[in-house]
Amino acid sequence: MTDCRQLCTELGIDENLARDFLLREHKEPGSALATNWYVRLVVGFGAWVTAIAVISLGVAIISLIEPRHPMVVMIVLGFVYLATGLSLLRITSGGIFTAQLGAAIAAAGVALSMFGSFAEWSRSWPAFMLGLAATAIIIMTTPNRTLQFLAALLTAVFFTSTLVDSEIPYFLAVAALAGALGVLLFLRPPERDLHALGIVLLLVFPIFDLLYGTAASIGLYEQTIEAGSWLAKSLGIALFLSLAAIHWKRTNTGKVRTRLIVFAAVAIIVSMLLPPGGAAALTVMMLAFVLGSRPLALLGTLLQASYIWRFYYDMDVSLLVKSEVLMAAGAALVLAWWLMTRRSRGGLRS
Amino acid sequence: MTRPVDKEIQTKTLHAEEVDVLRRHGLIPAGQYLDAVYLCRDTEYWTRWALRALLALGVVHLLAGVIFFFAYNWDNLKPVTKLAILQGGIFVSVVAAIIAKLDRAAGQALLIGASVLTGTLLAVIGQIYQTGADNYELFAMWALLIAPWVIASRSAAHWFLWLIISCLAFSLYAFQTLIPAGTLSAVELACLIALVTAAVLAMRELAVRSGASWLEADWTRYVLALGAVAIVFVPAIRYPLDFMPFIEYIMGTDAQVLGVLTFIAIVAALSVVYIRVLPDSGVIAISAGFFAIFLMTVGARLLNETIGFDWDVASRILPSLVLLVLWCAAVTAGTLKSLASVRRHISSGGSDD
Repeated sequence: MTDCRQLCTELGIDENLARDFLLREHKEPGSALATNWYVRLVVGFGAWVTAIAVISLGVAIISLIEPRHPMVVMIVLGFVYLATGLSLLRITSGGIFTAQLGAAIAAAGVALSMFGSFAEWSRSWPAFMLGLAATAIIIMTTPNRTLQFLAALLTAVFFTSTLVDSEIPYFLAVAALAGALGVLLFLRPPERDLHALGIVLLLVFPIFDLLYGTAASIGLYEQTIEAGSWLAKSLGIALFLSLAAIHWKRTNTGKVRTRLIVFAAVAIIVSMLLPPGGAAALTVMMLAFVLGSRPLALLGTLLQASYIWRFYYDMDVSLLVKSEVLMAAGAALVLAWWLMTRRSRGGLRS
Repeated sequence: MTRPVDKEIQTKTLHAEEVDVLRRHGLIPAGQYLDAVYLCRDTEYWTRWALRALLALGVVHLLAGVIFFFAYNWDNLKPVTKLAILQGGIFVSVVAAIIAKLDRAAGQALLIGASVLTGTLLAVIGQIYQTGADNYELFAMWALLIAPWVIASRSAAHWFLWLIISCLAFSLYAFQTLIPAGTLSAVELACLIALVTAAVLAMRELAVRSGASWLEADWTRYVLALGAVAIVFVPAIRYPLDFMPFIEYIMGTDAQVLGVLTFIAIVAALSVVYIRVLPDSGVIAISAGFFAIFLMTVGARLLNETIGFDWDVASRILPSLVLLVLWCAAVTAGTLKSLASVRRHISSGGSDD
């Protein structure tokens, strides 16, 4: 842990300038520093409920004018909404109300245009492409994290849907690749704020698992192409090892490094045993550990819980095999914990 | 030239969010970002977290494996072997917990394991003997049997497990007996469980004040506060949304003002306690978030009572929806403003980070 002066000295940056930026950000209402992450979560829910009301208004307008091509009108209306919302967000003197209204209208616009294109062409990929374009526009025009998250999340849903309905081979590996991109955004963030996009990219794999795993387990979806499960697992393991290497590079005591080797070895075994969802959740937890991020730690924990729940309903293997896999993984993790605490009796500091 | 120096920024310990701000302004190059994060990272906290998470993950996987194994109901395994494995597992866990000492994470994890195995044992007994007992009896018996271990372990996670099992036992009893007999309604049940959760939260605060340091972890407060508000939230919004078609298919047929009153009482109590007595912006964010959505549904109800949501009449549906949008945005903005002001108030008292 450090303070502003020490950080600036260590990294050789202008302390006065750093302090000015931090002060300005602390005072700006709605900024990342003025609000905690859980406050932003609350505001995100509020924005989404408002967006649902905006979507209802759009649907009402379309149903009242009864156009010949209602879905095309929905797409156009979506982009009108998006433009209006972004304009409201760009009014610097608008205050919190204008910002909330702008974010909700723009999010509703993205949703309307994506669902409109999905309904018009009965395919997911046009909706995904529209979502991609809308998210890019949002990123380029506003730093609003709530809007970036909502737009990227919708795009991610249609991305997973595209992987399935376009029968993309190795779809699990492609979904896992999105997670890798998310990790990269967290480790080497660009100057433009892509934090919300990073979280969505980490969520792509679990969204996939939730939507299509559930659909497959109740017989709504039948897998006909190669899923690429082993490729996804390998990617997860590579990511995990990269994160372990980052921690290795920044720790200098032999004890910590030995513990890291034990943990990495066990994590590789566990990742190979578990289905890809389990390995992905483990990677998010490791990312939380490396960055010291409590929201990511919470996300990783929730992903772990959801994957065990989902694993119960997985139709590919019997409950007996699943129980063997889970018990083996559990035993390996407890063994790693025992080895690591035995080695660290002298103290846990690195 | 000397710039004005803000005391707080100068002396404050920096977090990852502040590093992000400096990165966004181009002061920290991408290649140095992780170095900056590592300078701000609380190494001791995260080492402790990693070890606890590792143990928790291991135990959860092991226990899930055991539950899956018995859920498989393997024919090749004789009933007596199943019972022997589970009873042996419980015995070994309890003895190992005593050896590992109950004030340590390992001892507590082993005792939690014994508690979960007890539930599995009761389920397997039901599987073998087909006793025809009601589900709530299993959960009630489970809660009763593990109660001594829960008290002995002094582990927050163990208490939570017990609380969930007890609430499940009572809910199942209510759904199987009290509600069909007309003694209790679903809304009354939700209110009761929410009030019990709030009471447990109050007990948690009193226990921490009287020195129960094992209950001090923030998550114990947040989970209980979230539970107390979330359990009664659906009955609360069910009442104002009564006008909506299909609502009974989503949220049940029971709409009572009691749900609204209980919800408001819990939110008000949490707000007073966690602003004035035990300042905590996390709990305030939870209650404010749920209350904001409740206010949005009240706005929808008022619009329905005044202008109406008639989809065939443009002069009714359009103004109603426009006003609803404005109301929802105003509520969200108001919530954000109030939370920022609560946070400032708490920060000035210096009781919350």
